[in-house]
Amino acid sequence: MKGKNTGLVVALVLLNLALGSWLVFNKKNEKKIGYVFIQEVFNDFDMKKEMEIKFKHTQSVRQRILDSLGFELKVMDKNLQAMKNVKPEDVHPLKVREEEFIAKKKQYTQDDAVMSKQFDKQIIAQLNQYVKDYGKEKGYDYVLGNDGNGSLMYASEADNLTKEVIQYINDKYKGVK
Amino acid sequence: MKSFFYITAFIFLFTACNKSQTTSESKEESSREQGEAVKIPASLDPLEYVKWVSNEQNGVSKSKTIDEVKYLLQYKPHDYLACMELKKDTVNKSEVEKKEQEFKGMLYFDFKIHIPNGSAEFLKYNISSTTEYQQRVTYCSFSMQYDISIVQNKDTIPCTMYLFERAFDVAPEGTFLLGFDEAALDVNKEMTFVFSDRLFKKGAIKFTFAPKVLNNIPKLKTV
Repeated sequence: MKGKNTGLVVALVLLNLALGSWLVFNKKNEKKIGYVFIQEVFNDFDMKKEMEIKFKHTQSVRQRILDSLGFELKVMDKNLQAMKNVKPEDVHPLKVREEEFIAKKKQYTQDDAVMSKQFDKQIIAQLNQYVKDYGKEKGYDYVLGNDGNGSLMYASEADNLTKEVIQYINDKYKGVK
Repeated sequence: MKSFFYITAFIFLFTACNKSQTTSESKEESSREQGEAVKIPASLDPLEYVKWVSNEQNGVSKSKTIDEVKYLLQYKPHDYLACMELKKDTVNKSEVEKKEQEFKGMLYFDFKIHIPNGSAEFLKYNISSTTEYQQRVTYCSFSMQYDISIVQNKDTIPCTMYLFERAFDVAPEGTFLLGFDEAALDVNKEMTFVFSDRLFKKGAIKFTFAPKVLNNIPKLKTV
């Protein structure tokens, strides 16, 4: 009876050890995964907010230049209408100004597009870098991006890193970390 | 049967101990990252002092990498500059004070742009033409100074001393020696260094120094 008991104990101990090892091994191989809401991260990134202000400021300065040119054109046009005998040389300055207005408007539209593209590129470069730094620092294997297009259909709220990532990337951008 | 329970209990305890050990290790690591556990020595010998100031973990020197470009900023206290100029293992008070007089009136920084995997001059990184290279050289030599500032509260303090050190093809990095008017800045308040990168177009590169960092630099040991 005693020998039977000893055999049982040894078997159970071995089973326990095997279970323990499996648990430890499994824990080590477990991938650490988290996700963020991309739009939220992008919108709350301080660099994006700063660049947006800069862009809007430049755009409004350009608009003001166009507005004053447009007003000048209106005044010139009104003056011409008030004249009785309009000669071709009287119309010439208005035409020159009109061409200038059209060219400037076209140039500003193109410049705005280039500027916006360049700013987006800079923001995304820094944002990607900081998220990468976050993942490495916190030991994540994957940080997924949820952009609401169905690429991430379901994930537990416990793995939602959005707020933590926003705080981290803003600290990184400011150079506190 | 009793012995089985003892063995089982031992195995569970062993596993639990292992887990708690891992937790305490990670806690220690995170507190080190946050700079809570860092002990600041009261005074240091010249060699140790220079080493301490250059060590990124102490917060006086900072760096960040965007894509493949690494930006490094080091604050250089007057004592640090004195050590670098005197180049001695031990320094006496009078010679340090004499040197400090020369540096008075400015806060000094070293700003470096480094391409970690680069093999040629950093200005040749992702270059598309010789014209672009020339533009970069001109920018670094003359215009970059105006894209560098320190923001404190809501004031922007311009960079008043600027020197570009080219390493050519010797190292894939460039060093910029910078100086800011000391009277315009308060080391007891947070200051943010800003470089609006028009060289590699990476946007604003910022480094923030908390007042506790610049106020807690060890003293230089003199004889």
